[in-house]
Amino acid sequence: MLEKPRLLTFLDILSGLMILIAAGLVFFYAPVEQLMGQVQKVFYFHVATAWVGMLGFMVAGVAGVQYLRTEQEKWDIAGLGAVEISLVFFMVAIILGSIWARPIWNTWWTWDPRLTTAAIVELIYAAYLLLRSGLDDPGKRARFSAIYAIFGFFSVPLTFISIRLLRTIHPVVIGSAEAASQGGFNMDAPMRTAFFFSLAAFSVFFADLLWHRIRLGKLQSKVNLLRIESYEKES
Amino acid sequence: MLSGLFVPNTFDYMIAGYVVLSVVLTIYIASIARRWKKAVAEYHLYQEEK
Repeated sequence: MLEKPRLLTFLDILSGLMILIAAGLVFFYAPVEQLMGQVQKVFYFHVATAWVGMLGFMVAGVAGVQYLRTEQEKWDIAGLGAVEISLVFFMVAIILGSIWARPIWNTWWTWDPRLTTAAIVELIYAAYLLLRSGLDDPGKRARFSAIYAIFGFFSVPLTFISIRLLRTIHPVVIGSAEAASQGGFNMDAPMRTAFFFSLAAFSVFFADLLWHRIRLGKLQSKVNLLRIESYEKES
Repeated sequence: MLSGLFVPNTFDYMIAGYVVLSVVLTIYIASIARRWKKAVAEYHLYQEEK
């Protein structure tokens, strides 16, 4: 249980290398966008972190379904790990978006449909962690968390399609853009390479972190059992 | 050609973005490492008690 699998070490190295290569592509291969300047380079990791956030929320939803089907603790641990990682990445995506927006939209924040729905998603999943911490019974906690993660996931596609359905100033880089959008640009071939490689690199990084987080969750669960046994022995 | 002369200087914002990204992810990875270390120590402690 404590021994680190070789495949996980390989994944650590692979994800580290891929992130470094992605950073290299962003800084030294993709050209500087002419209208926005260097800040446009935030775009590559802004989208990649948002993607990982959404991916993790989806994984949590799937883990929730699996938990309700099987009632195996591993799915509860996986769901919690996915939400925790995604909250961090989604928060980074929101902050990066805000930093990008400042020179382009002349504001750090606006209640645009995309920004608003993204903030709601972040709050929904922050509430997931609060809900868990408020429930002592492990079985009840896992059941409620599973149901919450399944319903919570409905907010994620809403964020994704908000810029495609509603009038918004948030640019749509892939697909048709809303006429009111500001900060949109056409990607040339080097930009597309940096963009898709960043998406792949962060996806591998997510898998790596999730594996670590699941191992941690399993160990913490084992420690809790040992703690209970120890208390029972003493009393 | 002219557009190349008037590219806005938004370098500071780019750096700020990547600093935020690096700091937040480093803190998160460190938190996983710290929790793992703590759990391993507790695991050994309870194993010894057994």
